[in-house]
Amino acid sequence: MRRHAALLALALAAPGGGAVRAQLRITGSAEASQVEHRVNAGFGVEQSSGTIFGGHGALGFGPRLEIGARVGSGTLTADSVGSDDLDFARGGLYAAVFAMPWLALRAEVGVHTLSTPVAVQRWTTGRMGAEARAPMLDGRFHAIGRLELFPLISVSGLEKPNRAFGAAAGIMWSAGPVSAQLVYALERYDFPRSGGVERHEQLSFLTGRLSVRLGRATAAPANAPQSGTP
Amino acid sequence: MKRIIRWAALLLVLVPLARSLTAQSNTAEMLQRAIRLYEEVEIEQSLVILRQIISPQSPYVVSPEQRVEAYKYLGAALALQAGPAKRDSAITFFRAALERDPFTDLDPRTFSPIQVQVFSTARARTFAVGLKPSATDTLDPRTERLRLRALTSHRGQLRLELRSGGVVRRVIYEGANEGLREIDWDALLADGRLVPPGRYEIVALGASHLITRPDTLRDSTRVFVELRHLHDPLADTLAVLGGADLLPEQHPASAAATDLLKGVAAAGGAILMQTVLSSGELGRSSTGSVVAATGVGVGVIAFFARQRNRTIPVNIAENARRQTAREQRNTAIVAGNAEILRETRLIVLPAAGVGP
Repeated sequence: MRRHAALLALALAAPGGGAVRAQLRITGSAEASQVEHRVNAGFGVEQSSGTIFGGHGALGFGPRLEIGARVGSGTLTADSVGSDDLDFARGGLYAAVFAMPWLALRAEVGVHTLSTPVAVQRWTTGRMGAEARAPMLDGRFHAIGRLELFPLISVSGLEKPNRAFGAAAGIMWSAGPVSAQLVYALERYDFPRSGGVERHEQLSFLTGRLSVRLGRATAAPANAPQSGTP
Repeated sequence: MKRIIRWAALLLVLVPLARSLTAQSNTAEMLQRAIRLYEEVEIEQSLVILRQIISPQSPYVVSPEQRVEAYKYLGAALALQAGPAKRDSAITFFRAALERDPFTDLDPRTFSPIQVQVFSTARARTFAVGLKPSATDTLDPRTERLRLRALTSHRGQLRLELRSGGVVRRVIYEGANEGLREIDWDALLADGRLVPPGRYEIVALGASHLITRPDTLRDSTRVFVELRHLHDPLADTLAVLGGADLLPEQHPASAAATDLLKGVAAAGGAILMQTVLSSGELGRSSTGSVVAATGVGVGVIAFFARQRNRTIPVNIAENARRQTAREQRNTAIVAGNAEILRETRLIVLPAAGVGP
């Protein structure tokens, strides 16, 4: 990892690195999410909720490519009888390719854990999907929509779900290098019937995110000439 | 048959042409013989031939130049003969030559002083103006001048005008003159601009200072020239930017509704997730409603904001940049063309008139 960081620093400092710097943008975000976890493993719906805090960082290379990472953790308090408080932690690495200025194709490897004092359940997912950002008011606002499938997934102590997907919808506000998002995201996991019981599990996030960008904007046309018919 | 007709037509054209050439050739031979006899002091025989040349009964074609030459030698021959009648006749023939060609002159090295003196008398009694442009056909107006040779047969006022379409564009010379005057014209108009390409008339106007009664004797002549500019090709300036070259500076009227729809779509997505995509087994979450309400609110704000102001500032700035770039490019092209035009050379060609 150190070696890769050194190589990146060298590329930026080298002659010609100016062009790389001109194409590079760095985004850092702080976020807070209201999380709801619901599961029905044959004993009724168990629900817990709470707030997690985290961050997000991304490196953009030119108008087409972005890679990033996100982390977050917090405690979910049991809302139903029979359920336990959970420590929730998550992290992920993703890459996004902007097929069009408003459409990014995403691939992500994510991990999240649900911990109780006696057990830790680890979820590892490989996600693929697309995110659309439709500009409004010359890019001051964007309507966000995301849909992801989780074709690769493993859950410790459980079989692989036979249906796993995620979706998100939200609004983003931008003013120069600063932006803020309010996004509602849903992750749903349906497990195959086992022992006469069909397990369903779901996470929902209402996330507020504040971001600061260094470098030029992405393909989102907030400050790019806009085409259209007069 | 066709070939015979073609040969016959060719003969019909060639035979009169051959006759004309023979006639002119005969006049030239006669003139040469008369001059040779004059030089051998066979004056009477020379006079006979010269009179034959100028006679209306002459069977041969006589060119204007040949006629002037004949008049000149008639005057010269008669000037050598004694008696006032001969002298008067000599003056008459000299005047006839001068009237036809004001540039007619007697070389003092070839003709005797008495002949030159009689010729001067003829000049004093004849007022004629002559004008010839120089043989120069291409000149650089920055360093060269178009030389015009103007002449008054005796002392008088001379005025040289450049005219185009009947309008005087430049008075090239005006002043007193006697005899031949070489005038250099800088190829400029009265306003200092280089004369534009076209057909022009150069007019010489003269008024005698010697013959003023009963009226001042006047004469004029003119030559036609075609002037052309010679320079490297000029670059075209960029055309005015049209609709295809500029970005729209206003959103379409439908943009407000589109923005509203985008906000509603985000809201609909949140509701869809909350109701359809979420598992029915697990109950409904209500947090998506916050995003749905925000989406609708932002959509409505965008709708009214867009209706109030449809301009696209980014495009307006980009269009201004393109216009400025075009103006700068055109300024450079105009400057380049001016540089090319500064090196314009002028081609001077004889013309048959001011019109095509």
